[in-house]
Amino acid sequence: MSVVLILLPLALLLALGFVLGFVWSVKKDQYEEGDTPAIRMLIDDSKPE
Amino acid sequence: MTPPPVPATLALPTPQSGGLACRHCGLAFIGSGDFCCRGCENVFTLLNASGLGEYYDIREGAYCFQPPQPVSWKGEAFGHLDSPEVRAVYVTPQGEARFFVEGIHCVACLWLLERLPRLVPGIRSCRLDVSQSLLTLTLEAGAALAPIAAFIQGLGYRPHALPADQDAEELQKREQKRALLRLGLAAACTGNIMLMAVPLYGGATGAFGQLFRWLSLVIYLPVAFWGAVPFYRTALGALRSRQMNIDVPIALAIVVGSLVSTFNLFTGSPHIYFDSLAALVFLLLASRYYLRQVQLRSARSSQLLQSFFAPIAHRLADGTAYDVPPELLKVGDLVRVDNGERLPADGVVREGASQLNAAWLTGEHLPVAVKAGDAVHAGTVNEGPAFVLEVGKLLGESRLGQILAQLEREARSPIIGMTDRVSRHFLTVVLVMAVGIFLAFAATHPAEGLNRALSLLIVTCPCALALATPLTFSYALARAYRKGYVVKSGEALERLSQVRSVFFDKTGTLTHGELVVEGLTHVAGDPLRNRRLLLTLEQSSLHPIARAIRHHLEGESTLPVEGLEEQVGVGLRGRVEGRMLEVKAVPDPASVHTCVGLLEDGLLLTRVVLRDRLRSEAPSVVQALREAGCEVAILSGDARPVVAALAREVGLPESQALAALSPEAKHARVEAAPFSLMVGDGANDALALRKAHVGVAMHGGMDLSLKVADVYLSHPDLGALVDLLVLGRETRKVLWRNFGLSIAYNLVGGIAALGGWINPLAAAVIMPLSSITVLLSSTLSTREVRRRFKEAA
Amino acid sequence: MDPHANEIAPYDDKVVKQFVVATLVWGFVGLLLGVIIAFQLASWKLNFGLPWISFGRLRPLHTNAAIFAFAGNAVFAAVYYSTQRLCKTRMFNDGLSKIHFWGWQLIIVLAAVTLLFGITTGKEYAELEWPVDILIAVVWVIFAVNFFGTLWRRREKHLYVALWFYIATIVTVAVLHIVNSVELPVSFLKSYPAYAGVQDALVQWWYGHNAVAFFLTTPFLGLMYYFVPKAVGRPIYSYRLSIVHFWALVFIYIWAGPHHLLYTALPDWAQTLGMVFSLMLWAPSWGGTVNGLLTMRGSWDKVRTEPVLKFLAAGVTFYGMSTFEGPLLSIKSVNLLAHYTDWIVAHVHGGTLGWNAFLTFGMLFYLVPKLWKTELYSKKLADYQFWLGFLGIMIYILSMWTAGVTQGLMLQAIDGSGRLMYPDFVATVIRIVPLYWVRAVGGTLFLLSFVLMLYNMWMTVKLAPKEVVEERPILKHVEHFDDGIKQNRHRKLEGLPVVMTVLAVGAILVGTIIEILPTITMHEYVTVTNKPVPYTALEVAGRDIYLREGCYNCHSQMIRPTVPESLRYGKPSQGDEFIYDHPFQWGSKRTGPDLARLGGKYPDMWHFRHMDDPRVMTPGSIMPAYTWMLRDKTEFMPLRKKLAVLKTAGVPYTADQIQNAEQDARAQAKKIADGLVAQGGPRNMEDREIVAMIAYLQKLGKAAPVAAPAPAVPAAAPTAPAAAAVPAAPQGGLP
Repeated sequence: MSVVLILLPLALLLALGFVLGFVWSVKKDQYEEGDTPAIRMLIDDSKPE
Repeated sequence: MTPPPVPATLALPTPQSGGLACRHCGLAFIGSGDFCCRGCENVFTLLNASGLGEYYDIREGAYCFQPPQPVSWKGEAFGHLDSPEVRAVYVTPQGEARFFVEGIHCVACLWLLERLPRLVPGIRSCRLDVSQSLLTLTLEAGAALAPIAAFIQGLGYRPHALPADQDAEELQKREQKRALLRLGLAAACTGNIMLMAVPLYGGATGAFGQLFRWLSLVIYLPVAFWGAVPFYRTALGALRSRQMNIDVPIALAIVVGSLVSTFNLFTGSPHIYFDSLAALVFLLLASRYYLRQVQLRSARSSQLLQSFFAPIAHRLADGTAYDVPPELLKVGDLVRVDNGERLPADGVVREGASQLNAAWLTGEHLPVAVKAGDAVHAGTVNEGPAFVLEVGKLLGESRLGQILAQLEREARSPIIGMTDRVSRHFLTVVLVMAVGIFLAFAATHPAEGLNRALSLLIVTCPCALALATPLTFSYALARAYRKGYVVKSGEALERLSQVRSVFFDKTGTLTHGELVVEGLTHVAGDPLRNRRLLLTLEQSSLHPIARAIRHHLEGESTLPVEGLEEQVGVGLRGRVEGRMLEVKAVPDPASVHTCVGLLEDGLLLTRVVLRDRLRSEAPSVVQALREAGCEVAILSGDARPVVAALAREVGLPESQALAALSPEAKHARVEAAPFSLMVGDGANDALALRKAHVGVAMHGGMDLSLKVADVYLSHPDLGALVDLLVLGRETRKVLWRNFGLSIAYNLVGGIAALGGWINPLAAAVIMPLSSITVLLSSTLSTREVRRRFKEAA
Repeated sequence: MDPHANEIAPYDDKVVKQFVVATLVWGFVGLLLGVIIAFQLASWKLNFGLPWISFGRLRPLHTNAAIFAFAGNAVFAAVYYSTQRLCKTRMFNDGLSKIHFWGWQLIIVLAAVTLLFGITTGKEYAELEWPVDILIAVVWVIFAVNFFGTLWRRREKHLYVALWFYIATIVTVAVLHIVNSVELPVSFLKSYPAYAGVQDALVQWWYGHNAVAFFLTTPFLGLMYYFVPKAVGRPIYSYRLSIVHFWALVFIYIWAGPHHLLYTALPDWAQTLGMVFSLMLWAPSWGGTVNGLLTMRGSWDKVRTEPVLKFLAAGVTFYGMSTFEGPLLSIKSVNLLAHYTDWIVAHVHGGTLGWNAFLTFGMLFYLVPKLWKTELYSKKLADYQFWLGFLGIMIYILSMWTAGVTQGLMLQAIDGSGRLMYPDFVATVIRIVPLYWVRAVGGTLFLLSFVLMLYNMWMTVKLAPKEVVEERPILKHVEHFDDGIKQNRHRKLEGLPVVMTVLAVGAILVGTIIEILPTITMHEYVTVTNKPVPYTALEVAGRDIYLREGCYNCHSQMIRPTVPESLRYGKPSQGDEFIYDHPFQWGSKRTGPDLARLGGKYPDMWHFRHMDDPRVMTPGSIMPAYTWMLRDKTEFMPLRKKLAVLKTAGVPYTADQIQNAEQDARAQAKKIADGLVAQGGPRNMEDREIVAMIAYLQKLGKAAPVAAPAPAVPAAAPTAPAAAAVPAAPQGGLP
């Protein structure tokens, strides 16, 4: 059972990391643009200058 | 009374008649060459020179996210944007500026606008949000804004600079981010707790069972102490003001459920509900987040629409004009008012003479003449040559401003929604019952009492009712919005369902709001020469009649003219081939329409009949409304015969056509009718729009009507009214359906909980199921709504 | 770094072209192998008596080629093409791209060679031995560095949803591969997994399922989210839905693994977990399907004429079908019938041929003309290819559905008196052999359709203009989205790639812990009183031959707790029987009968003659003959090392046993060889592999827990009635 004593805090730590990561991504405004990214990806800069 | 016959040869030219397509804008044009105009040619050359010729490849078959709409007008000057005081309004200290850009519709637009940094110096970065047509620029230090705006205009779009209201924006952004964070946290925790709960339901016992139970608690803690905080807050607020709201039992269920579960965990009882509680919080947060998103989106779009109408004042100083927003004007400032512009303030004409359109006051669309020394009012439109105005009253104190202020003061008394009222009573009853059942058992079996009370609180959680109602509204609003109908609130939608009488404004609502030539009758002389003479005289006038005639005679040539002059309020005169020619009003007793005549040495050569054309869909819409059980009437400030003729055309009895009404009279009519819907476009309708049970403002109207109306139509299509009435009624049906479902489920669940036939676990399982049913019912709406609001493929 | 260094750098499309070519080449190889083994199942003669092309060795080669070579290269082509365009920058480092490409091809070649030679770990979909495993990890990390470097250097603030799917793929596959490949090397070409029995099974199927999830699903969803909108020319139907789809899938998929182990010796709650989460997958999977298909709304006319859209649309539809069938199969009662049968084979091929291959074809038809700056050689040919391929898939799936259900029902059929209706396993095989022929035809049609594409692609490239100007992004003045934050010294920590990585790692690791936790602590459950007897040295040698020949491809060693299985094979398997099985050999398909309680069922001589020619002992058997086992010599030398390594892994060998491994093995071999002679067999067999094999086969089910009070009796007792229930007919053939 001793392994669990290592795994338990590890799991909680990861859960914490998960939430922190989410905080980060929200703060980086990834979810603010609505549908524009889906339209923007349609454009290829395909011609050389 | 029959309209004068129109010779077949004089029919209006159709836009397709040219057959050539412009290489830049793609529109058909008449003439020769590759381009419809010099502007398009310039843009074409510029793009190719900048290595952006790819634009035309991208545009080929490009995906259009909205139907292309002609940009309303061009030729604005943006010089004012760079005066320090104005710049401070539009550019943030960080150098960020935003434009609402009209005319964006396809992938190529997105591509082109996001390449602005390559085309105009001074832009560091540039992003376009297509769903809002919002262009956000980051400027290099000290870069001028005006050339950028002018450039965007040069590309064929119409930019509207948006005031940088940073605080409000930031606040809103932060609030939504926080809500998203709570939602994400609740989602993460709910998912993880399910991982613990499933093995427990699956029979995990012993060491693993204990481990999963304790992990559930640990993962649940952030939900309880952060995720659910909004519920505690509103619940506390409600309790403090001795009110009842939906969050009270929710908060109570969370708190009691958490405490009981924790207690059970410590005492080794298997009943823990962390998974259910986390799921509850997650579901509630998710639907509220979604709700808020929909609300914000429609609020933002009406805000953007209002920016269409922000007037600009040309303030004169040292003989030069500086453009400023009207808010920055002071009493005594001299302002130039150009043709087609709206007066930014009340005041006195200092130099020049012109014609002002005071449609917002009188509903009369023919202009009145003004000259130096006349008092004029903010909001009227200059339809003649430019003149200089001395500001007498600031915007806020002007007649326009006072009406605005009065309207704002008369805030509507909020209609308390049926569901709100019911759920409030419902909640009180549930709480009382929960306490009651606990007390009933307190002496003998406190654990059983707690169990039943908790079950009751969870199972009767009125989230089905409280969530579904706003969600139903949000979905309906979103559906309407996608079709271009901005309904300002769910409450407005509810009122739509009650409408029993519909009042139309005439000008610009039932009609297009601009004069067109109905026909020419050549009384004497050579018809061809008459047409040329007519065009010769009208060639430069800014009067709406002149515009209509020019449009009608497009392609005709002019003759040399001497001494052409415009007599404000009378007509035009000049000498052609030595003869005195005039265009002036020629009253025609046989016609209700505007008549002017071309006279040669006092002899009538040609009679021109002009009229404001009826919208083609108006008769069918009127009929559909009457079939739907609505009383339909026209309210107009125009003369009786005109209005009566129009009534006949749309198929209304004359008794339903009310003419020569002042704004006050209109509003009295509307107020007198119960559950009235008023459709209008001008500020003269503003009071009526406000007084009506539901006010609908048409596209093209001015800001005032937008501010007071409940609904704004972004396309001038009256068919929207039928859609909206159906939407209102069907939404009401959905609400009743949800209500029925809720009642049934709560009765069954509540009785089962009180009787002790279900434990809190079962309650927690039933609760989301019922919520999902009701949310689904809201999402699906009714078949009629789905049919009418089917998304365009 | 010079901020303008990349301003004129073109996209690196050379590596994309290389991956495209590799996809085509390995696709052909993988499909060809599939067709060969399909015919081998239809006719055993096609094994030709040659060890390196016998079914047991070719089948892992087929799966590895199809998954890691064909699908893998397709994924890399998609990732390298779309990532550069979505990030508006060149790949992070061309050197890494090169190493990645050539490294991966090297791995494929090494895999082909080692698998043909029987060098395998014996774990399905993870057969490659430890040096190749390490190479895979290294190349994968190089790929990851190259990919994340590109994200870090991107010139577009937003990470398009396809990139998220790639991130999930890269991170998850790395973790899966590493965790599942924890091995203890015996020699350069031999190792034993660190886990055993139930633990190994759980880790392996957590890996195996997620190989499907994160090698054949998430990257292809990324591919779908990129190429479908591109091909249609309009954005994905709902971008928000795609983001929700991503998170839901990543979050739930990880825990669905145990559905491969329903009714096994896994604790009930872990099985329930797998089932519940598999069922929950319905929602996100169908969300994705609907999202993909609705993107094409309004373009259905183009779907009829454009090969790209045709294949993409069909691929997405097959995804919908497979993800409907998958959760269905994870329902315990359905699983009871379908598991171990060809229904699963049908399900898998619906996914791989329908979803992965068709989606890949769609991508290739989009990419090849674009990359070579030309038009497709023939749309008509592509049309024929589509219908031929589609027909092939349908024939394949329908025949295998029928075969699976038929065999499943026959194996479970019990007559009124409570006896098995088809006691001879081979009777059920004979019934479905015709369907194996049909399946082979279906596979051949699909292969033919692939050849059409090869020709079409070949001509397209051949006719392409020679002067190819490489694409370049227009980068001058295009903002670097983070200009404002650049000065901030936390910049590197804040990039979204980091966030996404943290999230994905978090999700995966939480899942890992939840699944691994029981395996690690399983000893808490495996009661100390019931410890099986470890394999003897000779049995270890025999077991390694069993692994080498890939017997697990057709035989399970896991009796499910049902009446028909108990009647047919014996007492249901218990978790504690396998605690010394490194690796576990539960298998996933019963082309032949279960072997968990084979020990003692037949005499040694039966096995001897059966291996020499299965049809002598079991008329109608489709098993290949293993004549070389009678010829080749057992390797006694490494046994001492092997036992020592196994001891390190937790098998309780004594120092004596390890020290005397070789002698013990020879002694046991001698005994068995003498026995064979006594039964009329040939002489001098003691050093041949067949003897070691017999030793192992006779141990199966005999190592069963030895109850503390009476060590010998309980071990035999449970098998006795079962053995009695099996008709002794086969023995009748013995002299």
